[in-house]
Amino acid sequence: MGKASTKNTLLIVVLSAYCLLTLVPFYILAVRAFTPTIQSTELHLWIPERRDLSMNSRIGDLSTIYNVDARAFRNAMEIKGYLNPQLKLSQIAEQYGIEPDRIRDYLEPYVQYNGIYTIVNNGFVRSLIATIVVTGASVLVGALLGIMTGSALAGFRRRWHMFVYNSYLLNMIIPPMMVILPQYIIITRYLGLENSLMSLILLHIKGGALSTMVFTSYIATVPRELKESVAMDGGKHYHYFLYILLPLMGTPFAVFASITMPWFWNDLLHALVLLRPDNYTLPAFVASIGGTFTTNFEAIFSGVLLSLAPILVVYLVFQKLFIRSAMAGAVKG
Amino acid sequence: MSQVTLSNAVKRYGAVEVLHGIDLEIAANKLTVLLGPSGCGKSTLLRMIAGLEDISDGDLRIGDRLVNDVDPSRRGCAMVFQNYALYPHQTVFKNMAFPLKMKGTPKSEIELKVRETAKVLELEPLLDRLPRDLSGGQRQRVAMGRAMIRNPEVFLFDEPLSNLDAELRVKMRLEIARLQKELGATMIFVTHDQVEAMTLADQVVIMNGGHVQQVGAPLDIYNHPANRFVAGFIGSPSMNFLPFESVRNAENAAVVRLEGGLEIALDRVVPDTARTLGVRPEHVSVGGRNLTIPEDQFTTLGAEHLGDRAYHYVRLPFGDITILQAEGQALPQTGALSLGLNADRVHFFDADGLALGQASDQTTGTT
Amino acid sequence: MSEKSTNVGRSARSALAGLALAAFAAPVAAQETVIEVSATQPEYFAQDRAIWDLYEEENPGVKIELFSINEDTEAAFQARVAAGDPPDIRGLTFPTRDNYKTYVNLLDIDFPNWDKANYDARTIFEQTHGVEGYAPAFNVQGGLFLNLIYYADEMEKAGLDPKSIGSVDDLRALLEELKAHVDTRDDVNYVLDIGWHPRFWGRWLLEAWGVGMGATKEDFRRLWTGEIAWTDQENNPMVPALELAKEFTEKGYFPENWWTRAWEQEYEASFITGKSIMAVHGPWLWNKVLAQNPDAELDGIFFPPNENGVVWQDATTADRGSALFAGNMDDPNFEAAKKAFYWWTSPEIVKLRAEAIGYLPAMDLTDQGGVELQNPQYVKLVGPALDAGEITFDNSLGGQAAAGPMQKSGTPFVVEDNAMASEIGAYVSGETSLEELLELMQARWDQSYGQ
Ligand SMILES: Nc1ncnc2c1ncn2[C@@H]1O[C@H](COP(=O)(O)OP(=O)(O)OP(=O)(O)O)[C@@H](O)[C@H]1O
Ligand SMILES: [Mg+2]
Repeated sequence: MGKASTKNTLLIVVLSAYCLLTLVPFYILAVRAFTPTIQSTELHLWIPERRDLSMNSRIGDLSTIYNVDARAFRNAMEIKGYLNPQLKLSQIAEQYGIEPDRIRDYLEPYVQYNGIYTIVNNGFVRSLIATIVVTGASVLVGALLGIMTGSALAGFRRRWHMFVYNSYLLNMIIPPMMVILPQYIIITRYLGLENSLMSLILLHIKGGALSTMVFTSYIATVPRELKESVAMDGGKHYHYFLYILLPLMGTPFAVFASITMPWFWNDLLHALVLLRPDNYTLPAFVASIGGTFTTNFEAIFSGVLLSLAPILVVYLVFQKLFIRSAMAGAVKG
Repeated sequence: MSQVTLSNAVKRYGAVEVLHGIDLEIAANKLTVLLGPSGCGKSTLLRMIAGLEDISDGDLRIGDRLVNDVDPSRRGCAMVFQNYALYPHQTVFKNMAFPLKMKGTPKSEIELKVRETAKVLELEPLLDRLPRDLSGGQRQRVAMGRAMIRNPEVFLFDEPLSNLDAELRVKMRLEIARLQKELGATMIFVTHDQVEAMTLADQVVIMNGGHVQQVGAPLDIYNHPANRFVAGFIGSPSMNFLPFESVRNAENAAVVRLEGGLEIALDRVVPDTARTLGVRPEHVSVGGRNLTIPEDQFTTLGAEHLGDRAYHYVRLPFGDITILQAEGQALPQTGALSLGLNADRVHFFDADGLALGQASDQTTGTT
Repeated sequence: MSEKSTNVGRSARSALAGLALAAFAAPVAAQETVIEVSATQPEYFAQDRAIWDLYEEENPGVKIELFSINEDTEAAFQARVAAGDPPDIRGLTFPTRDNYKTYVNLLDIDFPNWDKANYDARTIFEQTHGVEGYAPAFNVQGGLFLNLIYYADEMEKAGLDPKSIGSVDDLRALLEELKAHVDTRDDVNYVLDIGWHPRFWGRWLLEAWGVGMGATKEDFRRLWTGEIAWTDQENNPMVPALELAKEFTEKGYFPENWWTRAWEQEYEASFITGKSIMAVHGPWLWNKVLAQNPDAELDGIFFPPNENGVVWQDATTADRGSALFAGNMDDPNFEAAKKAFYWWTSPEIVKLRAEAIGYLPAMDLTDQGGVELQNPQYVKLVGPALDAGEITFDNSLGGQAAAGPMQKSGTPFVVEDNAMASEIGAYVSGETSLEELLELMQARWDQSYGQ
């Protein structure tokens, strides 16, 4: 009895230690999202102190280094006309007759929480929505097409089934970078999908070797008697698809979604090529924050952190679905 | 209600013909069993009736209606599958309600009918369970319920009991028989278990190699097999077949000369074209005078003891024979073995395996 | 069964048709003329934006869609251009012999700003790349300056005055004293901070120091065009600079293994956070330090001039110029794009641009009353030097630029290459000899520029 409980305690300790260890990178990432870029080369276990905003700062430098939107600043300060970026904040206060505290209050958070501010003010929410739309639609439509193809191909009973499948597979093997140009031309010239999220969704669901693989093999285990039984019971094919097959696709869907979701979520290449900044998905948005001779690491880490959070939530939800479907087990009987 | 009629029904898969022109009438309101060895085409035939397989050639009528091209759901058939084909993610209630839902039956009526059917099948306490939480027998009953709920004219069962253990199988068998009586429906039941066939059926259809071999009441078939296949297939252990060289008929008596030279004296006439004699183990008695086998021409192979009786296996020059004895009666250890055959229960088959004599009035197929 | 699978086929087809239908419902184009412009540099997005805002105000109905391209997005941008869908104006480009045709030949259109440039903008691309009669870009930025920057308050604490340095020996003496001071400090790690950056070393630093140590830019052009052998230790103008780098390394003025230090994350960061008092740099570090620490007392000196009082300055070339895309010449908005481009490169706007970012314009702006540069490097260093007039800046073509026409397509530069970091490192740390390094450089030159 005592022995067993010691063993259990030991197990729990080891497992929690392991768990903590895997969480450390996340923690460090979270700290980094609040660490000034200039200190980002050091490992910080807690958010370091930082200087208050100095009125000697030049507004141009704040734009360059902290991504302060000078246009928004001008509007907020009600400054009309051109504002010389080389002006120091104290000079701006003087020249335009603005209370220094007003300037300070507006800009202080940019400096203190620069990463998060930069991300949120430069279109994080818009990009997040775009990413959710693209990923959601890609996973759902991809799965739907996969289930449809899967139910047509299940068992590979005919020779052309294998041809279809192999052509999909080929699609998966070709590196996306190689076909990016023809794809771009087809999408923008012939489909008129310039700067459209639809283009990303189309690219994500095309081919579909993985979805076909996942769903076909699973559908093959669904006894054909279920389909026949629906037919005997007066159901049309779509009834079978809707009422019987779809609800049984929980497990393969969880598999498919958990494999493809990160692909779609993190698809940088296609987003950069096919979208314009006003439509950027998160990875493209985060990538576009960098400069050529300065990199706002604080903003980039904040971007990474903020774009990780939603997918983490989705993962936890799917985790549940996955476990539930796995426990539900065999279709038979 | 409805009888099912097949005329010259053929099933081909590509170039392979698996059912060769079936002519068959399945009586209305009776339980008909399709019986035959594995691969003989029973399921195919059943599925053709259900509409799950196309009919390559010939006609299929249910009642008076030609249904070759009628949608499965409009044939008035319900099917119970070997693996039950319950919808795994739906409760018992929903499973049973499904056919009605497809028909567009109002909700309240569905509720009523499901409860009613569940009551008949003693499924009421299980309505909210998922199939995976049911025992095999319960699943079987749910599948029955789902079939019954539409009041079909014809029930089709494809080996519905083969997944159950022996005891449950007996119980369900009785239940199906009871339901058939209560509902008075036409039922077609596929099995390769002849005990099931004998106990359940009003009518048995024996199939082999894509042909119907014989149709008839269970005992008729047992007593009057139409050919050597049926004779050998029905009955366990199988009938003894003794091939012979020649027959000498006299008035009301005959002497049959077996291959190897032994002779059997019978008190009856043997048809001229007969080439094989068939006799079931229970119609052979030790100590009779029809056939005497010298000591050096037979060996005993052993016996199966079933408690009240035992089957003894004996090797003869022309083959093995099986003899039924009451328990405790052994074969003679020394000397010749003399056997008696029940002359009325002896069957004769010609060179093609067709039954001759008293069996000839039965419906016959060709091999 | 076959009828069942066609059912699936049918539903799949209708789903696809739906998708395609939705796909064709592309967003409707706005009424206004949209001109897509890439910012000069992502860092200067806001500065560019503010100036383009003026253009939008002056030209109602025109929308300037400004976006930036950085290292991460460059490849995707190139894919877009290659697919025939470029933006209208590229804010900053480095035209090469392989890609110059992507850009409109400004000689073929009525480009109005040639004569304002204070260099031969019409032929500069020909001079650097050997392509006759083609001007793919127009650059308004004067060549950059290299300098040594330092925290003035820290220097004072150390009792040192960099402004008094007049020769390389003065610099040596100062660094020796600075090292002694740094050794007493726990919070300071490096004497003269530096890291590896291929362009900085390969194009600028070794040439700038070589000029300071007695050579001329002409010597460098002769080296690069094959008149002086790289292995000719006597005459190779780069040798004194290499030797000085080795000396600074050996004496511990440069950080240990400096050639492995990442430019931005290690070297710049260490100066900005005060791990060093003095550093080698171009213009940008000034702004970076002041942005992080606006109250820092930053100052700087040039690398000492040679006996003729000449200090190196980079030449103005088509590099960093802005350009129009040839693929758009038939587009309906090409005229509008041209107009915006002319405006962007006109003296009036170049003045604003130069002042906003802080560079000496490569343009005669006397019409505009000259530039008033307020950026710290200019205010503290370049401006006073120009005013004093004691030193002259040589901003003629550098060696590598002058050898451009000879370079074989697709070959690497001699020094501007990350592969050279460890080679130079091996030399300065004494692992390899000067001969070996020069032989390697010669071999690389032969490969890329030889017959
Ligand atoms: N789709 C098909 N393609 C080709 N041949 C088939 C197909 N389905 C069944 N068959 C063949 O038809 C014959 C009859 O099969 P069927 O399933 O009707 O046999 P069965 O009598 O039900 O056997 P069992 O008792 O083993 O279930 C078999 O030889 C089988 O191989
Ligand atoms: Mg079967």
